[in-house]
Amino acid sequence: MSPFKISWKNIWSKPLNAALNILLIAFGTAILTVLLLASTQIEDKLDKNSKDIDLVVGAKGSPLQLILSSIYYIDFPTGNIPMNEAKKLMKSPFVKSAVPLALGDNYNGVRIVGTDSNYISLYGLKLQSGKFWEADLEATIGINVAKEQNLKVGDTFFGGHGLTEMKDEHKDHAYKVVGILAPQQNVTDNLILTGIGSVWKMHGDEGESNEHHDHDHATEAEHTHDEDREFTSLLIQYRSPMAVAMFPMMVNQTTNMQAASPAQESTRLFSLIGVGVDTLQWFAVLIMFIAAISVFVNLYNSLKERSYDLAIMRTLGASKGKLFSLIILEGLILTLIGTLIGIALGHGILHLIGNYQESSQAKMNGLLFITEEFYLLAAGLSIGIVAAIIPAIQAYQSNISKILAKN
Amino acid sequence: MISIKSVSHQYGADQALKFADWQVNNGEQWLLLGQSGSGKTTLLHILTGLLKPTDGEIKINDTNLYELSSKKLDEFRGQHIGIVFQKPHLIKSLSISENLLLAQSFAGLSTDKNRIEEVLASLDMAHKKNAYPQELSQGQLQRVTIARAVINKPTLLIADEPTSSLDDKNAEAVLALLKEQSELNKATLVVATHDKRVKDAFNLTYSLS
Repeated sequence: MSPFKISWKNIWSKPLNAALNILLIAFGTAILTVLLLASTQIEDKLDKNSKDIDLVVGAKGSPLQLILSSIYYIDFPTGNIPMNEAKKLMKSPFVKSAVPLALGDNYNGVRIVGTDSNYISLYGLKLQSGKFWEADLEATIGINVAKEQNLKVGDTFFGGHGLTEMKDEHKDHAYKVVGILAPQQNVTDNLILTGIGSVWKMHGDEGESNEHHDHDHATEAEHTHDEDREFTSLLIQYRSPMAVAMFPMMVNQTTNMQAASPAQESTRLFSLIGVGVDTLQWFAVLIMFIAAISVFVNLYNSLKERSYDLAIMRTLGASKGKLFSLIILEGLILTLIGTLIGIALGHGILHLIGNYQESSQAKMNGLLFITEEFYLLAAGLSIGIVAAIIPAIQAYQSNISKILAKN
Repeated sequence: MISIKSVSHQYGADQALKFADWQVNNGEQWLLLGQSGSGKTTLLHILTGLLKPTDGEIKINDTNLYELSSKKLDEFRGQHIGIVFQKPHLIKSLSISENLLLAQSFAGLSTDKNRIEEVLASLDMAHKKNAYPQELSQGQLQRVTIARAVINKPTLLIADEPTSSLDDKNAEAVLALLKEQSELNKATLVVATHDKRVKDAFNLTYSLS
């Protein structure tokens, strides 16, 4: 008869006690798992999406909001910036490349991003089928958009004004899907990309594209148009590290725009979320601590009731070490089951959260496993050992002659 | 063969028990007689390797019990000594046959289901092998503890006050079972008791004063 079976049967001779212990451990582990997975996935997404962008320039307002709207496509933009001003910055010697963005429309909640071809190299985009947008009203869509909105190359759709709802559609102009991106594992999987002129066109800037290729007499007209043309923001890559110190200050002090650094704002965002994460983490640790005490009390109490059982086992030939390992094994079995259930529960909860999440940009995936979860498992098992060690030592040291004589 | 020589045990500073030398030959059936407090349980515990005496030596089959390491002593006890306690006590979370399996594996022997069937059958308890201890009556539990004591065919079968809480009829039955089982398994039997009803059943007696 294996020690495992003896411990196992003893645990389940008191199903309620066992269930309570397992529940506490599972609950604590589940919270820790969710926190661990969520923060890893969010951090990962934040890093991936901002990896080559040094600075975002946009209208004055909250820098965090500017970053969220222009890099993660989560919040609303801070407003628009005049194209003339922006063009001046784009020519600055500090700037290696600058990508303009024009936001403000959506298709069934998917953001339509007006930009230029520099966007392709900035994100290193690759095509799965079709081609990149060229003419106005051509759109290249992210892989998830293609799947979820059931769009393929050649399909047309109407954009809606705003960022989330299809309230008033721009019925005059239909977009045409000309290409679908290969999976990029970043925010572009969930975007519709088009030329910046398309977005302008939607908002009543007629005639521009008709004359776009007619440079001869468009020059004059374009200049007048340029006065009221606007971008939402600029994504900027620096030419040299020197720019880090100079360029943002220059933008903030000499222009009517603001510069925000994705790295800084992500850190700030994380420190804001971090307070909540920390609180939850301590809560989970507290639950684990209570679980450890509960396992300890359970084993300790049952030891009193079982001292005669254990003495009998010794008379049957079990050594002191055997009793010690039987008790430790019980602690381990309880916490192992609890931890495994907790990790599974954590993944399930995260997946459920992911399914109810509206923002497709920061969608959580409960099916991803990370190596840090082994630490959770190890932590759970050490709790089992720690909780069982005192009862186990007592079992080891118990004076069987005394126990047997008493009864 | 069991022999104890100049054994004494000291409890605390002023309470000492001295035991007369005792020689038990294989297959004999002995009565260990003594009033409560006379050191009966102490002697039994010394005899079974549960309590190391302050002085003296105990030999079972030429093995000096207290020269063994703690682990070896436990194993020796499991293999060569069967003990029946006053109160029948089984592990509650295990079934009857699992309780007997436990006795086999704790003694370091390979598990043998046929042997379990055989012993249970000889005690008329085969039909209860899958039952749990709380489903059995006191009398049935007593039979199972006897089965557990003889499962490994011990050299020495020891019973501590097996009859004290039983009525005349059951006391007689248990004694008969113990004698029968010790003969069946070729074990030496020592029954410790203060119960006068038991006296007549034995002709060899070791008395504690």
